Amino acid sequence: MYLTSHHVASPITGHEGVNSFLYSHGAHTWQTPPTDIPDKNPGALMAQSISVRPPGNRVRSYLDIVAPDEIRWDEVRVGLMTFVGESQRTALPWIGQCGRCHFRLGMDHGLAQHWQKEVAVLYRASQALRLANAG
Amino acid sequence: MSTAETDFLGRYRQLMNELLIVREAEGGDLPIEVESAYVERLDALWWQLSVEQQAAYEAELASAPAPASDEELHLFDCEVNEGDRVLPRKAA
Repeated sequence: MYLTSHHVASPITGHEGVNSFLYSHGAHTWQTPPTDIPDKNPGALMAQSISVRPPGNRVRSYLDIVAPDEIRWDEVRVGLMTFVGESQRTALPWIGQCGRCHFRLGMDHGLAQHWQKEVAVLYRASQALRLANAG
Repeated sequence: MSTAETDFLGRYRQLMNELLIVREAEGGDLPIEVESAYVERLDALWWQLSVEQQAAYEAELASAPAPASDEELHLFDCEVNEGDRVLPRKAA
C-alpha cells in the first residue's frame, strides 16, 4: 500500500485543500518496506479523495506512507508517531522507516512553522481515505 | 546519560507529539477518557525522567524551533485515475 496526502494550492484560484491517494500492492507483503515503493512502483490507484482538482496544483506539504495492504491502522499510527518523534529535530523533508512502514514527510517553510498541526491535517486525511477503503 | 534514560525522554517526546497530533486530527478535542489516558501515561513517563532531562525538555519546549524547510517544495500534483500505476505528484 502506498497512501499519500497532499496539501495543495491552486495556482489559479489560490484555493487550498488536501487530496489523498490510496494505491494497492495486493498480496505483496513485507517485514521491511521495499525500496522501490513508491517511486518506481507506486502500485495501482484504488481510491482518491479530491478537495482541489489536479493537475497543476502546487504541493505545499505531503505525507507518504508505505505499508503492507493488510496492515491495521494502529500499526501505521504507532509507526508514524515514532517516526515523527525521531525526526522532529532535523531539517525537513523527513524520511524514515518504522517496522513494516516507510514514511516521508515534507512541507514548505510557511507550514513548517506549525508542523504538528500540518502533520495532523495530513494524518487525518490519510486515515479517512484508508478507513473508507479498508478490507 | 544512559540509553535507558535517553529512551524515556524519547518516549515522552513521542507520546507528547502523538497527543498533540491526534488531538488536532480530531478537531481540537479528544474524548475525556482518551485525553486522560494520554495524560496518565505522560505523567508516569515524566517521573521516570531525571531532573536534568525534565529541565532539558522544558527548555526544548520554550525555544521550540520549527524544523528547517525550503521556502517552496517545487512539486506539482498530477491527475490520476483508478487503476493507474503512476505517482500523483512530480517535481516542477
